[in-house]
Amino acid sequence: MGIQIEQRPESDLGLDGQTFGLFIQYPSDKGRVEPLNETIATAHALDIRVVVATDLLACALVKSPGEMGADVVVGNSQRFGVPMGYGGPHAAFFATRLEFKRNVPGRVIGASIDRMGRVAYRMALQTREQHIRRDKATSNICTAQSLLAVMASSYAVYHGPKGLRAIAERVHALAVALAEAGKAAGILPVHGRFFDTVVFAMEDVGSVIERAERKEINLRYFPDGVHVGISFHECTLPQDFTDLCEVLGFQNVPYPTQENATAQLDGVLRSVDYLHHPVFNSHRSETAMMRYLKHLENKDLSLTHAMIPLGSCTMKLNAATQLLPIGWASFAQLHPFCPPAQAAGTRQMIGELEQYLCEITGFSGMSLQPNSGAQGEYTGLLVIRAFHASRGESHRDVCLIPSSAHGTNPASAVMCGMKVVVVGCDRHGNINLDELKAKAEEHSDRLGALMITYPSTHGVFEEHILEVTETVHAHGGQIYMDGANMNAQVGLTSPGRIGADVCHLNLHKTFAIPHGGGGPGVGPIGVAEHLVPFLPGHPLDAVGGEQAIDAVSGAPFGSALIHLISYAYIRLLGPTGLRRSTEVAILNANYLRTGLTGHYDILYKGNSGNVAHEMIIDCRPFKASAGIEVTDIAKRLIDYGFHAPTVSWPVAGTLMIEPTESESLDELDRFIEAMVSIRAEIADIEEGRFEREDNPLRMAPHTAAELTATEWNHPYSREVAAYPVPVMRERKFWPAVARVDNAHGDRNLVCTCPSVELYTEPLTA
Amino acid sequence: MLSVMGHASVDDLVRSTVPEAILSSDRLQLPEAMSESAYLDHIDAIAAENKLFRNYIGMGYHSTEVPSVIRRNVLENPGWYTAYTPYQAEIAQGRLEALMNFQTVVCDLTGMEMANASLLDEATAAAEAMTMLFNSRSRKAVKAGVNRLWPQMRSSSDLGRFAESSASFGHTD
Repeated sequence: MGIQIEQRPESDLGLDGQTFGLFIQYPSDKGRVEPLNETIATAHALDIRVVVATDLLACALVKSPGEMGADVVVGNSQRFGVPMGYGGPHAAFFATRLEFKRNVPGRVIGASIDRMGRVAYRMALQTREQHIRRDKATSNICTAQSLLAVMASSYAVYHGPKGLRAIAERVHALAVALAEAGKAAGILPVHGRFFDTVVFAMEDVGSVIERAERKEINLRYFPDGVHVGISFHECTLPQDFTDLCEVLGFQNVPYPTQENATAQLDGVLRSVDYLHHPVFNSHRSETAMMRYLKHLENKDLSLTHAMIPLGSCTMKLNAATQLLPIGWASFAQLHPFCPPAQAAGTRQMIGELEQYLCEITGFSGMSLQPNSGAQGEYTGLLVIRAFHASRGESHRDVCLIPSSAHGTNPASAVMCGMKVVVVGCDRHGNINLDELKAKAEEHSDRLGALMITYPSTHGVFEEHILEVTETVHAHGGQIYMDGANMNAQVGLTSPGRIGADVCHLNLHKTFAIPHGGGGPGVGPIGVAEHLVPFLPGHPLDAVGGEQAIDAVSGAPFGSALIHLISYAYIRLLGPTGLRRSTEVAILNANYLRTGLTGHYDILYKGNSGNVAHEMIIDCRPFKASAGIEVTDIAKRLIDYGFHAPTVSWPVAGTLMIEPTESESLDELDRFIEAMVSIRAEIADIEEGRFEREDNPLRMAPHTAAELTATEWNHPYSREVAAYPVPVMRERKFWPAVARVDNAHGDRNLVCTCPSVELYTEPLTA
Repeated sequence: MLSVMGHASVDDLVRSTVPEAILSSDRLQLPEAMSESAYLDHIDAIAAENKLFRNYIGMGYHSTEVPSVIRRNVLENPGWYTAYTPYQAEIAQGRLEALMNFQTVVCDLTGMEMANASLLDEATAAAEAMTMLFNSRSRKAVKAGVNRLWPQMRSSSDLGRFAESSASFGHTD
C-alpha cells in the first residue's frame, strides 16, 4: 500500500506534511504513563490522526486515550479473565469516533428493532465488510474473537466498575511498592509514573536471572542486557511480592495496602466515570451472574440444539475430549514470551500438529501463526510475493480470482498490494478454462498467483483442476488454495496433489475448533518445499523460514492454546478415521441432495450428478412465483428449529447446505422434512392458499410472545406458525425476537448498550 | 442411505464424485487412532513437559483470574462455544447482547464513541487502525510515526503490512 513507517523518539516525532498518522502506546513499552494531550494536539494541528494502543485495566485508573483526543484506540482485552494460552486466542479491540463509522474494520454489533417494534440486536453496517464489498472492503477480516470478547465482557459485568477499579488500584499499588523498594536499594525505576510495570536498570542482570529461575519467576529482560521489567497483575500474592523483592535484591517491604497508592498518578488519574449501565451493576453475586449468562445462552441456537448446515463453514462436532485440555493450567497459563524450555510440551504438540497437517495437505512446511482464515490468506500471499521477489520478479503482482471466490480472497489480495483480475465461471459453476488461459496469457509477465477454492465454492469437485493449476504454473504464477472446503479432501486427495503451492486451512472448520459464535479461528498455511524458507518469523522467537517474512501475529504460534483441539481431533481419529470422516461428509451431502431433489433445484453438480460435501439450492424462482425471498426461507427454518444454511453466497438468492459428517440420519431426515414442508408452504402461496403478503414465511420467525398474545391477526393459524410439523411438539426452539429490521439500525446507529427505557415501550419504525 | 442415491458402497460414491486423477488410495502416514481415555493420558504427559513459572513479563499478556462462573458457563459450555457467527440475529440475541456489552466496556474505558466486536490480536488491530487512517487521509501523505511500542508490534508485518520497505525499529522509550 506504500506507507512508510518511522520509529521516532518522543522528543522528535518528526511530524510534517508527509505524515498522515501517529501511533502511540499508552502506557508505553517500558510502562510509562504520561498525558498525551499535547502530542495529540500537535499532531491534530498538522492534520495528522492519532492511534493509541492501550490496556483496558490501566484505563480503569488513568485518563482514557479518548479524553486526551485519540482518533482510534486499540488493544487486547486478554487480562479481563481470558487465559494467556501461550499467545491466544484473546479478543483485541478497536474503538474510534463516529466520524469513522463507515470505515471501521470487522464486525460491529448494533441495536435495531424487530417486526414487533421491540429492541433487537444484529450486526450493523455490514456493507463495509468483505463478503459484500470484496476488493473494496475496509478489511479482509471475517472471523474475529467472539467467544473471548464474551468472556472479557462478562468479566466486566461480574466485577462491575468498582471491582475493575479495585483490581487496577491493587495492581498499581504493587508496582508502586516495588518502585519504592528499588529506591530504598538505590535503584531508581526508569519512569516516575507508571501503571502496572516498573523497569529498572540493574547492575548485575545475570544474578537477577539466576535468582528468578530458582524462584520459578519470569521477568522481562531487555535485549540491552541492563533493563529488567516487572509487570504486575491481579494474581500477584504477598509471597510473590516477597519473592520478587528477593530476586531483585531489594530489602523486602510489606505487601502494599491501597491507601494513597495512586498519589504518583496525580494529573492522569480518572474518576470511576465508566460502566454506569445497569448490566455492569446488577450481577455481583455468582447466583446472579450464573443466571444472567444462562439467560443469554438460552436465546441462542447452537449445535446443542440442531444441525447448523452452513455451507463452507463446516459446523462439525467439537468433541468434549478435544476441548478438555485447553482448560488445564499447564497449557492455559503459559506466557507467549516465556523461555521456550518452559513450553516444551506445547511446542512438541505444535511441532507434531504441523507435521500431521503437512502429511494431510501434501506440503513440506506449515505455519500455525495466522489467527484466522483471512489472516492465512494474507500470509500465504505475502509468502508468494516474497518468493517472487527472491527471484527478482517482484513485478509479479497480478492475482487471478474466480468470480465464485469468497470475499476475503480479493480483500486479502488487495491488502498484499496485488491487482485482482477476475475469471468467470461456466454454467456448471466451474472456473472458465478458456477465460483462465486467456487471462494467464495476457498477464503472463506479471502473473503472481491464482486463488482458488477446492472443491469449488459451488460445492463441486472440478474435473479440470489439474489443467487449471498447470496453466497458471506455465505462466510463472503460484497457486494459492483456499482451504475452506478441506473437509471434502482430507484423506482422499490433498492441495499438494492438486498442484497448490500454498493453502490455508481453517482449523475452526475442518479440524474441529468450535466457531465460538464468531471466533476464535486458526488459519495456518501449508506450503510446498520452495516456499518453506519464507514462512513467517517472529522478532522474539526462532520460528519461520530462513528468509522469513515478518510476523503476521503478535504471538509466535498465534492462538497456540486451541491448536490442542485440532491436535486431539487428528490423534483421536487417526488415518482411517480422518478419511472416513471425509467420506461420510460426502455421503451426508449427497443424501441431502437426493432428499431435496424434486423440491428444489440443485444449482451445480459434478459430471456424475453428485455434489461434493455441500450443495447450493436455488431459491430465486420463488421471488416471482410467490413473492418469497431466500431470507424468508432462512427465517422460516427458525420456526422449524434450524439455523439457516449459508444465505446468498456464493450465488445471490440461494442457500448453500453443508451437513458435515457429524450429523445422524435422523437429523438429516428432520432437515429434509423441514425443507420439503417449507417448499409446500411456498406452493400454498403460489396456488393462493396463503396470502402473498401475510403468510408464515414472510412473517417468520414467530415468537412465543406473538403467538400467545390475545390478538392474532394473521390469516394462517397459530399452529401453522409454531408447529408446522409434528416433531416440533418435542423440539421447539423459540426465537427471542421476531424478524430484525436491519436498515432501521443502520439509520439510527446504536452500538453500545441501549438505555433501559428502550425496552419498556415498543418503538415505531 | 446409499441405496437411496443408487450407490453400492461408500467407495463407489467417492469414486463417482472425486475425479480419478486426484483421488489418492494412499493411507495417510499418521499415528493410529487413540481412545479418548488413552488420548487424555497422552496429552497429560505432554502437559507435564510444560513448566509453569510465575509470569511478570507483561508486554500485553498478563496472568488473570478467570472467574469460575464464567469458565463453567461460557468457556466450557457448548451452548456458547458451538454457536455460529450471528448472521441469523433472531436466534443469536444472547451473544449479540454479550458483544454489545463488550463494545460498551471498550467505549467506556477508552473514552471513545464506538467500538467493534473484536479483532484478531493487538498487532492486527494496530495495523487495521493505521490502514483505516491511511485510507481516509485528507492528503497524499505516506508516513506513519510509531512510538513506544512493544517489539512484537514493531516488526510485525501486520503493522508493516503497509511498509513496502521494512523499516528498522529501535527502542525509543
